[in-house]
Amino acid sequence: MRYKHLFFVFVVLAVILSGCGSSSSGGENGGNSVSFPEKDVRIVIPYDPGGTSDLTARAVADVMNKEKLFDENVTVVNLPGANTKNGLQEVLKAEPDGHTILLHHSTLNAMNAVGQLDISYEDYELIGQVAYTPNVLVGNANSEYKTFDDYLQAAKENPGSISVGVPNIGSTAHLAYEAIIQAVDAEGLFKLVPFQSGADLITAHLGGQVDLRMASTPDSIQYVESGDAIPLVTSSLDRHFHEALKDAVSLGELGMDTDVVVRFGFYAPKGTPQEVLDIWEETIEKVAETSAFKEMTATNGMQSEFLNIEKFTDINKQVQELFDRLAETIDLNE
Amino acid sequence: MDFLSILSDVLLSPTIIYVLIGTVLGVIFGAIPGLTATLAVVMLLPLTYGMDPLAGIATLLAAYIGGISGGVVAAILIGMPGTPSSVTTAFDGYPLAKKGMGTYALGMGAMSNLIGSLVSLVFLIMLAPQLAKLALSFTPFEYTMVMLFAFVMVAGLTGDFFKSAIVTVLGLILASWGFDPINAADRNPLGLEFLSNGIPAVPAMIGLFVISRVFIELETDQSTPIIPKSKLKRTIPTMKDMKESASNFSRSSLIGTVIGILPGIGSSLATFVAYDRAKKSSKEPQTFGNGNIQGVVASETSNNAVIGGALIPLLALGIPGDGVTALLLGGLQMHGLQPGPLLFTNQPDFMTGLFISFFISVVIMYVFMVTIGARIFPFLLSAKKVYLLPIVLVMSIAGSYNIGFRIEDVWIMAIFGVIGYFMDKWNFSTLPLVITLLLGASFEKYLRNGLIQSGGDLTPFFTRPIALLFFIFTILTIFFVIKPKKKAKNA
Amino acid sequence: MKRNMAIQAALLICGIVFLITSANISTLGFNGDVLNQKDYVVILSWLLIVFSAGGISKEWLLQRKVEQLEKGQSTDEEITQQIISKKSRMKIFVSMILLFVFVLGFTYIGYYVTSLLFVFLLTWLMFDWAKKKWIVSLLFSLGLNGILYILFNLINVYFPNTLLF
Repeated sequence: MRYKHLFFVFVVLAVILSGCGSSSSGGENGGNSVSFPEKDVRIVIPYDPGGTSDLTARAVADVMNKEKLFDENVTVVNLPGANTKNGLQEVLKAEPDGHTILLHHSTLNAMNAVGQLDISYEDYELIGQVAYTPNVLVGNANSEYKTFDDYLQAAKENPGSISVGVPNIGSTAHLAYEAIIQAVDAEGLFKLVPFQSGADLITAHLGGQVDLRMASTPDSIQYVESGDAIPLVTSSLDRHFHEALKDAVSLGELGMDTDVVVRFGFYAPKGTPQEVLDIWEETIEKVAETSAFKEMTATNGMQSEFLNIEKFTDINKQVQELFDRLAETIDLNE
Repeated sequence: MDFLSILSDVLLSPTIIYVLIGTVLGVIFGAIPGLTATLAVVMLLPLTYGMDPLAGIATLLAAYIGGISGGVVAAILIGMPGTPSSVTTAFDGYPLAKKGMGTYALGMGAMSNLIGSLVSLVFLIMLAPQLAKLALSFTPFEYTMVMLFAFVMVAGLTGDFFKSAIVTVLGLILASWGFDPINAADRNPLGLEFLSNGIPAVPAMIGLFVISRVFIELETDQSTPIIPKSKLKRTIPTMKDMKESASNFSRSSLIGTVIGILPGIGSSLATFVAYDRAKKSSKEPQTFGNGNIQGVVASETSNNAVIGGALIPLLALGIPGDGVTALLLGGLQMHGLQPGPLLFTNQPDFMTGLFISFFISVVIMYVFMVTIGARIFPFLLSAKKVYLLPIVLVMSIAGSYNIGFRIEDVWIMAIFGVIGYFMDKWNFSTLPLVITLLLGASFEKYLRNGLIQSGGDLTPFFTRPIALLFFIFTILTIFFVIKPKKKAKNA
Repeated sequence: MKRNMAIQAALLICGIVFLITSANISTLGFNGDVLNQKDYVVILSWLLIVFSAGGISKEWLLQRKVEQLEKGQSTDEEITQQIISKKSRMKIFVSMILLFVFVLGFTYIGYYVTSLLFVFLLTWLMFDWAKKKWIVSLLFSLGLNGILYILFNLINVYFPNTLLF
């Protein structure tokens, strides 16, 4: 009697299961030509929706979908958590077939340099860069000091009297600040105050808790335009591309030969075939040239700039070396 | 563009449909225990990418308003808050429903939602830039003292103060798990993989207040519904009700708006403070927790007032106060709008449109809740426990998973469901655990940041005016909690 | 009384455990950090130990006082403890197990399949395993999950990628 009922249950289950099979697509592909992509492509970002990485990834996905650069759909997947490790691990362990890609930026180099992350850019296959955005050191508009030199003078006369806020220990902004300090030989003259998010830092700066802050470009433009902040130093080699920030002294002018800008690039799992990497490289080059993407970057304080696999790898190496050097001089107690 | 043309634009465009859908969807999500207001916003976010800026942001805002308002439904009718912001609503709402006054409580709850939202909207429209400056004057020193006050106040709110103090400390330890806020070091004493990111507050709250209640309901007969049919059918409060609640409405709206303005503190604390204040100002404080409608009023007015308050630093300074405002910030940036000092001056039309949509959403919410809602929700929630409880459980699992697509969140929910059940059995109040899970990480962040800024000096914590003020509040709270106890002992 | 002391003791042990495990916390960090991440946890662990020790002594003193006043009379706390029947206790225990099995199932096997089983078993449990009620439970489970399937697909609710659906 019992078994009859159980059997009934299993039949029902089986019917439901067969009726709702998942749609599988594509099969194994032997031979020379690589058919890529074969299924939905995912761009993973290790942050919550709404940040600059998110916006960049979505802009890229939008352009790719609209212009049909891939035959399959491209979606953005947010995998925040574990201090970016969740998203990074996901792509690290993913199938190296090009369907799961990471969009990340120089913070990967920075966090690795300060020891927060075991993963480094070398654990991935690099695809290329699509955009970059410099960091800007800004001061309060109602301070008596108006240029970086003024602040530097004041710090030399009174070490520790000028405080600088950075959004996160181990962020590109933090290391950009360290780069500036090294460039002008000002170790130990300023007081570093770390915060935990861009928002916290903005609040603190506007409220006068710190004298200077190391900001991202979008977080500086509107405060400069509204008259609350003055741009002092930009972490790019040349003067900043945005109108409002043209007065800021550049890292190049301070004597550095590597810049410390936030470079947004694509990373693939190790073992992804070269042909697939090449397809990706070509595609993002096209995306970076489109006016839709350029518009997005302009509105968000970024500059669209494509770097291919080779150049991106070179710049990563340079930046990592610089960061590693800077990290040694930073006071990190053990 | 002048006001009338913007108004007609909003009313005659698809925006109004989106706002309608967003609000109703939000209310439904808020009403179902296990699904939260934040979840409603998270789900709608991808759908708004293709809309024009005003429509997109207005929809998200509508879902948020609906979600926070909807929490009152299940809190009253089955004692399970639909969203974390309605936890205190259940304290008095549920006893009222058990007495057959569920519809009456719902009506007052909806009215509280309406008033709280509108008051904070008025502040938003009139005083946003000025009030935003208030947000700026709060430095880590002030925040540390505010949160310390919050912990002490909540410990004194319900139950045994000493036991609650222990729970508070335990909660702070739990909140420290994961990555430390300043240096991102690993803190995972139990070494379990799924705890490597710490204990997220929302799934834990779903566990503590929804899942544990399911277990509690299993103690009694399951062939009956959770509450009896409501005797009073009236959903619009009477003039008498309104007059009696007037001071509560105003006080709770203010509390909600102010706490909303301070980024990072959140709506739950607003409800605890408003509830506490209502209880202390009442002529019969002992009835709180047993069915005093003012408890419901305080809770629901303040949690809605937080919405408008939280928009103030978001729009005026570009500073998000919590998870939802962070999503809104992202949404705004994606549409090319940069919130901050210039938003009000550069985009007056967008702002006006947004305020209009806010108002419309609040009205839609109220109308929906007192007409359709007040009929359908009690009907749906009066299902027998046998059927209702499994539904609540499966919805909670689906809801917790969909917050961030992490399995860990569901495990946390289940574990805290069990913890919540036993805490109830052993007479430990769960509120201190909730407030520490919500604010513990921020408390540590502000405490340590303050010490970094002052170079180890403790004096600013006690000498800065606002910080000192809250420290005094803390001392007074401890004093007032201990004094009545001594009286009772000697009597 | 005894139970309260046991709980306080358990909390005390927790405090000690946390204190010991805090030694594993790395203090790698920024140099101007006054109160580092390890010290913060150490302070909290000590607080927990002190408070729960205080709780234990409070309970012990209370117990002594009660024994002195009235031998063998139950205190207020024990009176307010509801008497829950053994049957209900079993039910709650089984439902907790079912819940955890559900979470496991939905992680690896699939939400709908697990939910089908879970709702069926839970509903039948609440009917006290009445023989006649199993068909009602099954139908309810099928119906509910059918509705959920349609609903969740409509509003884009996602579940993890698993073996079955």
